Amino acid sequence: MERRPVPLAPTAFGHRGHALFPYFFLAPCLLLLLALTVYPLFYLARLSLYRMTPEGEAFAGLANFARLVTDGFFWRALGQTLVFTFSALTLEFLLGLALALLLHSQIRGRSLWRALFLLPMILPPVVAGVIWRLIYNPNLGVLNAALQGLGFDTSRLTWLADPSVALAAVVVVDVWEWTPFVFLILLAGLQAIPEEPYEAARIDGSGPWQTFRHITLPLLAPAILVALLLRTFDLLRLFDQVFILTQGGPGFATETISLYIYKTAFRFYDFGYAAALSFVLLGATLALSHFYIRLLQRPERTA
Amino acid sequence: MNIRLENVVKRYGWTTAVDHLTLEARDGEMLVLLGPSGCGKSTTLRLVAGLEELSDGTIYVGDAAVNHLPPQARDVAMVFQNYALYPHMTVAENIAYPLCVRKKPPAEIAIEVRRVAAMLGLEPLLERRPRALSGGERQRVALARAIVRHPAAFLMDEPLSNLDANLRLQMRGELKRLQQQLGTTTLYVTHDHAEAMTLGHRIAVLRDGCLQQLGTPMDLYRRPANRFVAGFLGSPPMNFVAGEVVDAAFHCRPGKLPLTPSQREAAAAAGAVVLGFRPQAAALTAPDAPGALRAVVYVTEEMGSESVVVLSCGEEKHTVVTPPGARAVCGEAVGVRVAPADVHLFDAASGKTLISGEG
Amino acid sequence: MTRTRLSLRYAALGAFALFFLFPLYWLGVTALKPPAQLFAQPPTWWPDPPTLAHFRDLLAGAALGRLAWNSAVVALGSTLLALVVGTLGAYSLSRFSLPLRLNHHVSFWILSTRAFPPIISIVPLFLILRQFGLVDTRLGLVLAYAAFNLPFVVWMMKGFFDDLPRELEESALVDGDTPFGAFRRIALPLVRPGLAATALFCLILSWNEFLFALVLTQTEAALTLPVGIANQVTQYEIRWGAMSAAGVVAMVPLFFVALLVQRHLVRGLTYGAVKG
Repeated sequence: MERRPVPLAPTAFGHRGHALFPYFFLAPCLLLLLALTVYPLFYLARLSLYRMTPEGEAFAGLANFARLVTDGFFWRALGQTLVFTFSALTLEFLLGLALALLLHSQIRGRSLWRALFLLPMILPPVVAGVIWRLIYNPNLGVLNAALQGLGFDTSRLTWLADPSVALAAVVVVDVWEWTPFVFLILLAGLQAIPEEPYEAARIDGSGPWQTFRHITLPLLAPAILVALLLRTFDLLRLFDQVFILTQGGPGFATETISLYIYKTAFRFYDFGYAAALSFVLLGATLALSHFYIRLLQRPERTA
Repeated sequence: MNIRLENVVKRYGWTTAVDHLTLEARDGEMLVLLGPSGCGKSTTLRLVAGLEELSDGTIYVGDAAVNHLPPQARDVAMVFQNYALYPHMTVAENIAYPLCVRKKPPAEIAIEVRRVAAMLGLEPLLERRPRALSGGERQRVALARAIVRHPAAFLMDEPLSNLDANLRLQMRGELKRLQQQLGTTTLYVTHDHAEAMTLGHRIAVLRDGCLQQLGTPMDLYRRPANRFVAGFLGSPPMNFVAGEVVDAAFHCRPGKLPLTPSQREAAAAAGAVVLGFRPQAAALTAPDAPGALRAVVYVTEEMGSESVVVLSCGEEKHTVVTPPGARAVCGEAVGVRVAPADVHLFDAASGKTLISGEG
Repeated sequence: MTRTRLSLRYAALGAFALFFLFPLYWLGVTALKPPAQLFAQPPTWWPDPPTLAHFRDLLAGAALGRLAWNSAVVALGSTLLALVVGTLGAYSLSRFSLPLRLNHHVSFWILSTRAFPPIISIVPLFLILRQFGLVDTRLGLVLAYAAFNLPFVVWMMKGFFDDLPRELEESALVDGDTPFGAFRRIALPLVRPGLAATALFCLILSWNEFLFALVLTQTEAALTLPVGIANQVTQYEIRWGAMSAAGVVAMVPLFFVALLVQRHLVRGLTYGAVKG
């Protein structure tokens, strides 16, 4: 074939009647998308310019945004979210990579292992929260019980109730739940790498570390990028597990940005301020998603 | 029914894929669209089918202009390069499809499918799926699907190019016979000149969207309209030598070739001239024989029925076909003689033929 | 491979398995423990004897059945809506060259919705649905879930349609079929595996969803399983046995669904960026 044909021309559908055919197919989809994803954003924009008072709403201009700048709680929540994101991401990447490399090598029952390791990810995040809350329980949970059994003094290890440890404890839960996500993607990426470069490297006398650094990593890079970027989006929006595990506590120690916005809107009913906060979050996410979209619209670079 | 293209133009953005193409496939004829990749032949076919929209011009099937008709209303059948068999249907269902969508009664459909399957030897395969068929079998199913409708015309887009060499030769003959038997007008696209020569009643050579020449295979072979057509048809391809006509001879770096009076006259108006001769029309002689070109043997290929000797002439390479066992030694200096009657002359600037030889 | 290398690998695998699978084991075991052993110190590693009392409690409370039903209805309804509307949209994006560069703009928008935190949509969606009286209804939830199911379906199905050679539909058109006929008879049957995988993904996403359900439901009329489980936790008395049982109920169907969808799992997870 000499040239890639453009999508079907309208005359492929002939007379006027048929020419509208593509639009019948697209219209419901487009309308629903606009209604559910675009319209709410406009609504949000309008919301952010108003303040909720007992009498109703009052126009407040950019007051909500000004308040945001000096809101200590907001910045703390944002900071904690970033710390959380970074630590969880690093751990998930390292563990996920290790697991993927492990299962890519000669291990028996690979598909069984792959199916088993899927489970933490498939769970409703709420259930993951429940399990770990059970495990972390200082008096009744199995973690402290096991540590006691090993001879540690657990009287001061309260995990989720301890402000200095709580965030780390929640990180562990997220790592437990989402490392399989990274693992699956990296495994798929590894399996897509052809044998030839490895054979050539062996003949050239490359050792295992060199092979890994010069062949595996570069060829795996696109998959790594996709996995990391997607996890970043999901970590920035973290809500479910934190809600179950700590509700943002103790105090404010594990408050994430999503949780903060939720409470502002649905506990304090301050929709205007919540809208302004949402916009800031949206801005940050859009900046990041720019990279994501560039990645996804170049399919030839990935597996 | 005949198919007529009048001044058909197709543009993609700034590129013109088909440039004011005018040609006619007569009723019952197999017209081959021949040309290299990117010359617009497949695009032309798709325009006739209605899968692409015309930028300008008119297409007629019979007497009716079909420009604004959708593919389903044009009464043409198409055989794709990759056959485009429906993978989830059996062979029988594939063949029956065009009749099914026209809501023909099932009894009639069954009879027609059987008839066409018998014509192409597909009866034992009717219940199989495309993935269980060989390349040749798939191709025949694609043909069956095209035939079953009794369309006004067939459009074939390089249907043989995905077959291996032996099968291709076999199917070539089968296709020719089938078309003659059915008598349906056919537009056939290919880049293989041997296929074009053997299959087509007439050939239209295309280059960069423009028609170079339209004529019977022998017309194109013996009297090519320009250098491109001359070099495209024939295997091994025609040899070209640049030079000028001075006095009564053609002068070029490797030597001097005598010309006939009519050749001289044709070349008189032109300045620089290119001389062409087919490998089969040349003979090897001694290097300093009069009226011969000097060359050095580069490599010899023994084909069994003949020898193909590749010569280097300065920086160019020329090919000469000689009877087998030529015994030309690598590096040996030889002379190449061409009879004036076998010489073609082309205008160096435009490529147009000034005068053709007879072979 | 040397013996020590191999045993090291299996040891590492074992460590991973312990970390990832133990909590699941613990959930199942807790759900089956008699109440006396729930809080035993040192902990009971295996229920003795295992009991279905917690499951019975849940059913007796009638809440679990109702919640599971709500979750199922909402998941199925939302998936169906997204699938029908989204597949048609995906087909037109894949096959037709639309004016105003719609193909590009719509694709871009859909991709970007993957990045959006749901909290951004939930605040306005709540207020909008409240105006229509759709809060605390299953219908409202179905519509809200379409906000993330629809972009997913469009993107995934567009990928599957793109993978289908265009020639098949062109052949159908030249053979005499209408464009809709070509879609129905040729394109749709051939993307059936992709359709199934996408549907299962949507089911999983909808079944697990928490935030939207938390905000948009209040009573048993529309409460879903994840919210029901969360509600157990925020009470004063945490009924661990019942909650574990609910967790198991929420988890088991998903496991089988995940097995079904394994082949396309990575593709669905990465929105098609990596074809697993």
